[in-house]
Amino acid sequence: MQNPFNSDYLSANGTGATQEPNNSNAAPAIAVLAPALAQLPETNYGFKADQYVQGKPKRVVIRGKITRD
Amino acid sequence: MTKVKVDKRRRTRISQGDVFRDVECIEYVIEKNGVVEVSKIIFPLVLVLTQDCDLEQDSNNRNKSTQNTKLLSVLVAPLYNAEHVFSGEHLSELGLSMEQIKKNRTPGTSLMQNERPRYHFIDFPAEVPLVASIADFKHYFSVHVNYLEAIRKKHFVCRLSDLFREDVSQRFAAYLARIGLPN
Repeated sequence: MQNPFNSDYLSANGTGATQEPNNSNAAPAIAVLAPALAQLPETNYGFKADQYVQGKPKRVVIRGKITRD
Repeated sequence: MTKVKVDKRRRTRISQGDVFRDVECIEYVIEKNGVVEVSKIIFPLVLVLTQDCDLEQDSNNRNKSTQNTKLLSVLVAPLYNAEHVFSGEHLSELGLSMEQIKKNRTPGTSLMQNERPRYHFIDFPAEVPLVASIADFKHYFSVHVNYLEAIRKKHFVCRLSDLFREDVSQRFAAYLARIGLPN
């Protein structure tokens, strides 16, 4: 069960915690949380759309000589 | 077919629903006559399946005095190019010939509607540079959590948003829980 006040929690629309707490001190926590969520860096996916063609899994075999002390 | 919603924001940890690229799966390691041979399969895309609460606890409790919630490995499933899957060619580089699935007939349409327990079809939105992909639950494998954490910054692609992530999680759990009855 995710803790909505955990800084890692992101709602589906990215606006942070969506559940109203029963704790009377919750309002300041939400106000602090929202700016932190908005500042999380975004991924650039690691490649550009026009450069990426999803390939197939490949097998790689590597060999190395063992040197024992 | 519904296009998934994707969360572009990076987190500080591995999460369920994360998509990683170029993830290695070790096939075997053997030593013979003083030579070590390592065979590994590199998957262009994988989807993280491990429960998010387990991943969160592993991340939060890394440096605590007890390692009760430490994970040793993370379960992932390969994401194949959907067109390659329909033609049965998605594992051709590994010398494997797979079932051809007619895309416009019932086998294909039911797969794309996520009615086949083994597969999970993911149609990414236009702004995400990923083609429509299919996760094959039968091919799930584990990677060491330290390895995935080490490559997270460079190999993280995106994350399925909550509902779509939970859909994958539910379907994977159902796939593992299936009971094969004798004919």
